[in-house]
Amino acid sequence: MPFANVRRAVAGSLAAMLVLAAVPAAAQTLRWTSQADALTLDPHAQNEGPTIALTGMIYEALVTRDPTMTLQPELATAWEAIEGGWRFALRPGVTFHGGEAFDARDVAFSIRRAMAPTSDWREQLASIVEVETPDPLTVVLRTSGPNPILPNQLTNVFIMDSGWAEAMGVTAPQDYASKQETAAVRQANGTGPFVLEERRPDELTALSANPDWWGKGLFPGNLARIEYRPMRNPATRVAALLAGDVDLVLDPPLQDLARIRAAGMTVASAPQIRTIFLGMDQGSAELRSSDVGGRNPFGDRRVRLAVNHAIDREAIRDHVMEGLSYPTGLLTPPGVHGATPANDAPYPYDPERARALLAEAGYAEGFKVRLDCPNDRYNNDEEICQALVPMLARVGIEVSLDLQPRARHFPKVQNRETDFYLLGWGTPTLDSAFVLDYLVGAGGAWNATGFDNLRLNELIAAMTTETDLARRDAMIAEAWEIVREQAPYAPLHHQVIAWASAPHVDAPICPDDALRPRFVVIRE
Amino acid sequence: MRPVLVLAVALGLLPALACLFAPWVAPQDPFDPAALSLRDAFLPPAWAEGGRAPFWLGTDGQGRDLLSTMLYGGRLSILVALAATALGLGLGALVGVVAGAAGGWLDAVLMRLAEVQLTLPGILVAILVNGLARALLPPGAREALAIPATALAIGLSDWPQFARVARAAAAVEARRDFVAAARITGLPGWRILLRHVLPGVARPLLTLAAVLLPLAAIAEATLSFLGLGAPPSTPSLGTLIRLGSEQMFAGRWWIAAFPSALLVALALGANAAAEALRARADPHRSARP
Repeated sequence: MPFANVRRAVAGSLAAMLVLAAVPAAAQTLRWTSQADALTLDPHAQNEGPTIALTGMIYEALVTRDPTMTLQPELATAWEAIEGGWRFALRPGVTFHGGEAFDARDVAFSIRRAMAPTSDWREQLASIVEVETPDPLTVVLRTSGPNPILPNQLTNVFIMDSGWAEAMGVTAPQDYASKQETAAVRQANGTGPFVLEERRPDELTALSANPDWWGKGLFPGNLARIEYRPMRNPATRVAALLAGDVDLVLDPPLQDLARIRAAGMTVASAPQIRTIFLGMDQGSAELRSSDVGGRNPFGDRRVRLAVNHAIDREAIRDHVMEGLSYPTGLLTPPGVHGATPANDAPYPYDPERARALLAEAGYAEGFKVRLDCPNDRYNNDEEICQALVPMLARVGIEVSLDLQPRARHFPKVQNRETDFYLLGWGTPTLDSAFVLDYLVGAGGAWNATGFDNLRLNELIAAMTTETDLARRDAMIAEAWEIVREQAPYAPLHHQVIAWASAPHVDAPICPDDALRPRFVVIRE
Repeated sequence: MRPVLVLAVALGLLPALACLFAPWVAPQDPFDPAALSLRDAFLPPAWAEGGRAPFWLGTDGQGRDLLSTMLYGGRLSILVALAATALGLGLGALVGVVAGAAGGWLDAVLMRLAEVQLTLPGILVAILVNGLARALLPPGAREALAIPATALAIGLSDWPQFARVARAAAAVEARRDFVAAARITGLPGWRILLRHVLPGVARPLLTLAAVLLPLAAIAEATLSFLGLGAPPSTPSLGTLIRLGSEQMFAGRWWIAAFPSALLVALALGANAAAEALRARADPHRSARP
């Protein structure tokens, strides 16, 4: 089980860093890069990795996770389950970057904002029915039934100042799918360790340390300034690191890791909580991009299984991912509650069986379909899609590729305008319910497959309120069994992340691939 | 012809012919996805350690035989360059002949337009046209029409050069006595242009086309290198060089090196051929001892 190792490795490097932090070091600037910028600074508009990571430097949530993915207090100092909900004690004396005082009203406002129709956290917070503020430093979240994992669901729900939001006219989250522009998209006012200084999307985002931050002195990090410059071209990122123009590359190309190590740089790697998979639109009457009219090949379970058996996941690992991936048959990696070695096992690579299944379903001659693919989001995403074309062609599925930057790919998935698409999914709550809710449940915000299974919908609804953990585990197990059998998706692999940094930078690698600058130390 | 020229033409001509006949010459059909195996990916050239027959120049990241992919890619580059040059030539000749023969305000407007475009670098215009064409295409057609769109973009970027040459030649031709004679006999204007002016304009235009053809091939490679030309599923030389350049740090030099060498050979050969053609068309030169 790779996940336990990560925890140990991360904990080890953390301990090493704490020792280093004991030596007072001058405040430093971290210049870092990755392939694609945050999509927006509105903290509730996009539930998406790089966006959360960047906004999470400026804004804070009630509860957060440290680099070992353990829950830690942030704006709440303590929390407990009470009858019908959860009670949070808030941190006193906290101010926003604009000078406004932080209290329970801001929490109530932000949670309601994150439950608005244009928020991307709607499903995640669906169990909350009411937000109460008995006093300025207490918040009670009433839930529609007992919700044992509510704190886990709040780790990325960032808190805004209610007064600022009203003054800026951003009381509702940006409608990202329709490309709305609001004042909260390029400006930010949080309570976090870093203050936004400059924001030029896709070019430069500069942050400076918040001198009034509550956590000053409590964390090892010694950064005074952060400069983030996205670089789309992978070779450019590596060249920038080797030339000393940046201190850290979040997503170095896997094929270049040996070269980076040879140059004396630090390379850290860890299994990521992110699974890459293909979605198949089985809900539509016919596919938009197919030559099969009148019926939808993906509507047939045998076709979806055929796609799963046609993919040689080990070849993708060895030849596309440079060995850095874990082939899988599940939508969430080991380490997430509900993932087991049995349901994680990939569908066997068997092109003969795939052809037989297609013939059985009436597609002996195969069919055409377009695969929509991002080219700037996941490790080697473009190459994965290119590698899939010949594999699917071998069983008769003629795939044309549409490679697009994620800013155009994601709306396509969210608006359900795609027949066949590649997507990755992280599980910040470390619980299967999150994945089932978003990807598998009928109406899930990122379920673009149209998969709608009665029993599964029942199970998903029931597990959100089930407090008997053994019964809840049984529900999760049954749900994954149905997903495996019905195959609405073709899971490919769990991503392995690798960070490359200059030798004087100590940045603890985080399995959610988010840079946590409060832990980053730059040595003289 | 000088021996250096012969060598250069041969250097360009042989690979060019191999590219044009790629479907019959290439050992593998790299566009048939069912023939590829990912397990053959990133093999080095056959003489290097780890390389093996029949992948003489190695394979790319998708397990495509690099030699075959290059030949098909070179063919695509040559065809795009031909189409683009033909488009530029046709458009430029039309504008230039009309401007040169008509004179007056029409001449002024058309030539100022050409000059404005000439002040912009050709590749910039090509990127602009290409971007517009792609934005207007429906997403499904984007990949299928990427190659025609590239040819269109390059053609639209080099017409002013043809127009200027055509105008200069047409202005001279239009003042010849036989044109005046034709006018007196009452021939319609378009027939005079077609029958009496155009033949005199054709020779300098064709010479210019020979010079611009390799430049069009390089423009295609540039667009593809920037990711704007041929898609990775049907790579041109530029696409291959782009994909190969991402593997340079990893030590997989062959994916970028061989297509680059082929592109240089093709461009050199075409340039040498154009030079020879220009020399023959130049009356001053033939008059020399």
